[in-house]
Amino acid sequence: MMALLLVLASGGALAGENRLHWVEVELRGPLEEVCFDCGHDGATRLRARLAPGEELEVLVPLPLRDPVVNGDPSLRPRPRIQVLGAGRVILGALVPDSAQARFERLPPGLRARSRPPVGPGGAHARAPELLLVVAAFLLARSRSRLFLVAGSSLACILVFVLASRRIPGSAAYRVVEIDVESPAWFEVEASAGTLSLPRERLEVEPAHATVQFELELRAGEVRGIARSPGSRLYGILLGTGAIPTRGRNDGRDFEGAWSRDADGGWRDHGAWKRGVPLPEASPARILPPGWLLAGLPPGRGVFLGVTEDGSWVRVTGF
Amino acid sequence: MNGAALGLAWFLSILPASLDALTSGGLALEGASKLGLASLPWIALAGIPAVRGKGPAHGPWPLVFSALPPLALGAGLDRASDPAGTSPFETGAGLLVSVLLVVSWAGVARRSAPRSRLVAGAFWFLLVPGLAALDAALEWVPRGAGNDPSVVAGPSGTWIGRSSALVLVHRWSRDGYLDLWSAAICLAIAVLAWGVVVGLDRAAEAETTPP
Repeated sequence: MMALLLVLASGGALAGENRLHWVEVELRGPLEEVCFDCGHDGATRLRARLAPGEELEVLVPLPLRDPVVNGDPSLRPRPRIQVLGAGRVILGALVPDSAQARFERLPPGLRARSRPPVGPGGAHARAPELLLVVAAFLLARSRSRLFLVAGSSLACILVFVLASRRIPGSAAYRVVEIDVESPAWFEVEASAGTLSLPRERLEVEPAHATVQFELELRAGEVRGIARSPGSRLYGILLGTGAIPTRGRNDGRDFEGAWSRDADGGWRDHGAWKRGVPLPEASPARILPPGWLLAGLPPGRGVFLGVTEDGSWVRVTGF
Repeated sequence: MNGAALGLAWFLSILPASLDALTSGGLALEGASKLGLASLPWIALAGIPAVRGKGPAHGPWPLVFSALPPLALGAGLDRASDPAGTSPFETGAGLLVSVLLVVSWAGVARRSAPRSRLVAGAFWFLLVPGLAALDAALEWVPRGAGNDPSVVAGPSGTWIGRSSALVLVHRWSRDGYLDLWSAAICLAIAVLAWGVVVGLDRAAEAETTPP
């Protein structure tokens, strides 16, 4: 209960439902583009340039909230298919979600870790609109009414249109969630509005948000982005393998490393290179961001490390 | 508003967007309103009492057309940053409030009669920096040296904070949304101050005009 309260207080998000469900699709050329319209759930737009007579079987993700039709897993989801080209598209069966099964085998506490608190990134001005603002300032010094009113008004409209079309950046976070008692771990990449695909699992906040998958078929594989303006997207990859322990860092090089003992005190270990034991520590004067500290189980050792590229690793039972 | 103040306000209003562009988002302005940030220097400086003979003689248009492009830049970036959250109505209302506040306080400052200039200066000093300073003091003083955030501040969160154009625009810049009720109160205060000094100006003109 305390962990839940801490998570809610921190504003962090809990694990949500998976919005990435794969279906078998058979494509027959000639084709340019296929759209799988899933209604309010969203759509998948796949660019697949197939020559006449060319056939291909691919797995395509759909952003469905509930992939099971009428509670019967054997029934296929029924997206509306729109084809650009004279070819054919045959929708096959829903692929059994092995990633979901592996995710559900993780310890509940690990699965329920708070997700990074991403927000929309800001849009930045570029040189054209800044130069227009300077030009408009010079025009405003003009003694000619025509230059003043017409020139400045035109400049204002152009500045607004150019600035409003800038695509906002996205503050993305990546964190690897590990529990030493579980052989498997998972990596969460969190971003606002857009996220690159493929992933093994996709969580969306708010859960009812419409999601568009914009994909391209290259060398038999689909790649692209998930887009949901105004939403937070969490892409998850599951993994197994070496994890950092106090005796030896079998993970990555850490630029910063902190540990929490069972008594709750945080210690700062500084940088921790791969292949060496955990360095000596001093009491931490600066703590990692609050969303990483939220909801951690009391009474267990915790490790937090940050790598050179800004990714975090969070280990419980350390 | 004289030429130096106008140039300074223009420079300060495009400074955040320019620095953010130069540093590719290094200012970390996510969540802030860039329109609010662009408005702040104009609202802070538009009402500075003009020295006789130094003010522009050709109406408010150079001021409006100097202020509008940076404000349009801020409005455009706000729309781009949060396309799902900011409605066109909110952006338009923010732009309109900014322009009206700037024009109103510039109108208060541009007085010719000595008595109305004195009253305009007193209005600006009390209602623009004065109310903002009072709001800041009432916010911080009760917390004392310990800076205890659990101590509830005085009335600043109520009518004083809602009456100051500087506090309004500061909160708008920081939180990313404009409190329209506070904006209406600030506009009403600016228009009232304008009406009083215009009345004084006309009375002074009537006194000096020979019958």
